[in-house]
Amino acid sequence: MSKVTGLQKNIGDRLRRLDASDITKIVLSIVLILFLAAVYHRSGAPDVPMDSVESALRKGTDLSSMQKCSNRQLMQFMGLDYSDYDSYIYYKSREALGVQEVLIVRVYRRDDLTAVEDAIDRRIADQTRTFEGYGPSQVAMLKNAIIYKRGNYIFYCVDKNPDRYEEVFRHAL
Amino acid sequence: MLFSSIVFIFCFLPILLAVYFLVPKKYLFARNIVLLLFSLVFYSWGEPVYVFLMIYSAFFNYFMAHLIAQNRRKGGSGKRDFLFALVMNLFILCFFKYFGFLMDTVNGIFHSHISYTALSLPIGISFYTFQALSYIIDVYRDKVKPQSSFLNFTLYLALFPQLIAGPIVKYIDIESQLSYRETNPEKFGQGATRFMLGLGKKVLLANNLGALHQLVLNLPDSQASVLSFWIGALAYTLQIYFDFSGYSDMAIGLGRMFGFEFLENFNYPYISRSVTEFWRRWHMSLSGWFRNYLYIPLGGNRVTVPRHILNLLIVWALTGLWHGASWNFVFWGLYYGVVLILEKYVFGSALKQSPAWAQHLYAMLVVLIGWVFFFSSDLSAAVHYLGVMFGVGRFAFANVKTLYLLRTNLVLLILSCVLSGPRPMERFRRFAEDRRVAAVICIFAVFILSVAYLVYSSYNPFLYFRF
Repeated sequence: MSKVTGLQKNIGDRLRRLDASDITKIVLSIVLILFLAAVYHRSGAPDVPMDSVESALRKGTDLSSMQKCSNRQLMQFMGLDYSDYDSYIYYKSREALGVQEVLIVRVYRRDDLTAVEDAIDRRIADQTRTFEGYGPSQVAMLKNAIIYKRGNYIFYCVDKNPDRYEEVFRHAL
Repeated sequence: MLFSSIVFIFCFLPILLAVYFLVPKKYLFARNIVLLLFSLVFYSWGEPVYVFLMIYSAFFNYFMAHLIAQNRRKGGSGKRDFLFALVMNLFILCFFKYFGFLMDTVNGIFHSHISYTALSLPIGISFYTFQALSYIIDVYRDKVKPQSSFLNFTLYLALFPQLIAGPIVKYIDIESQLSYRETNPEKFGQGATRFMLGLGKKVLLANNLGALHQLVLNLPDSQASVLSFWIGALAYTLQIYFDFSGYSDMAIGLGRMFGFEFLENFNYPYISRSVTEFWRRWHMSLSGWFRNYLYIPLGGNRVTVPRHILNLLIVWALTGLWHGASWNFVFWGLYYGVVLILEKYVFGSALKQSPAWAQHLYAMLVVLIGWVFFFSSDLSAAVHYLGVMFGVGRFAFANVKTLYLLRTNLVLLILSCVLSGPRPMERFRRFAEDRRVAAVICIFAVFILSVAYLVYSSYNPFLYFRF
């Protein structure tokens, strides 16, 4: 009992000895922790299965002009090996001259997002080179491509209205 | 926002210049406010939330420096406050940059599956944290007085030219310029020239070299060859130099346009004849930082040989880790640490006695191999790449693809090699002294070509996101 009282007295003495600079340091530390917690919470993405994301995209957007791509096509068009990633969905325009496509990849490790982003950059550059000179509408769409990362997901879309796809994706998470 | 973007060149910069120079020279305080506000806009362009972290860091370090100085005035050492500031700065850096790396390492060692959210890295956090640390350490060492103006200190941390890719400007080097600096047409012209030439390095050379390097990286095994992989490594070696030094040129040039004088960051590193010399010429602001604030406090070379070796390994492992949160960066740093130890204690004197071309060849070979660890996604990818370069596996020495790469990029590679040395710039300076108008036309030609390339090409990679 006396030990507890002694401890309380000790803490009380220390608290009384705190000056303005100590209090400012404590406040600054709390502000930092709160900020980091908020950033951490905001950056995270819940564990949403890719099927649910796909279903949300089907409901919220018009994917009728696109076809779902296979593992082989993911490699062929994006240069990505499906086995390196947790899951993905990839839709691509049915038309030979269409550049519309939507790709969402969920990676195992956040570090892997860089490789996917590089592949997307290369894809945009290749497609732009292909359509430059005779496909101004395609080039315009490619220039408006959206790349968005959240948690372990990366979203990429080329379309006349890519914002709509991004909005649906954001809501799906 | 990037310097090498149309938005920066044709919107941000002209508006800033107009507003800045509309404020009369005598109102430097107002000019500093303009620079700070625009710097914060520049920083928040991509990820607005992290601008609050920057402002927090500025306030925290401003406050702690005054606390340390106050403690010293009262007869104390200020050590507790100094350590607190050091820990908090490193905590912020580690939280954003190394948290994911640490969790991956723990999961890898213990085969656990602890889930976590790795955060996107605030751009330039390594640069401005090191700048803040240089300030705190120098205040603690009593080398500088704490900055009395919060505005000036925040401007020091947030100043947009050096904010996202350096050079790492030590507070002691810029202290006086925050409260007095000269702007005049001559300095402005020099700065603009430096900016345009830096832009040319980045856009015309580095981006094209980067495209070549990516092309080689994407080659399927059926098209890979020994020579192609050497071409890819050479392309990256030149890309990172022109990219980084181009960005530093743009930063130094922009600084000069606003009256600031930043120290040089590169001094033609690829003419070096040893790795020791290379690191005296490459990213000088970073190596200077590590030398002043880590290597020398550890004892530098005025210690026993084993301790000196340990010091070098610590400094170089941390230099590697500064570049990226991944084991291949640590390995890359240690690789240089070991080479520098060998140069110091084993073959340094023999190297100096060998012919100049052999010294240069050795230095470039070590550097080129080092970049393979740097650009590879992980250690196994680096080992595979090096294996192909040195003929491990059934890869042809050269093939049709190699010839295609050479035919389409030989001029670029040769031009880049030549321009990585000092002679072309020396000649251009002499030329500019005799024919000013022609020189100005040449510089504008580089600028217009760069802008045309920026508009035309969509390949404009940003190598510093992980720094």
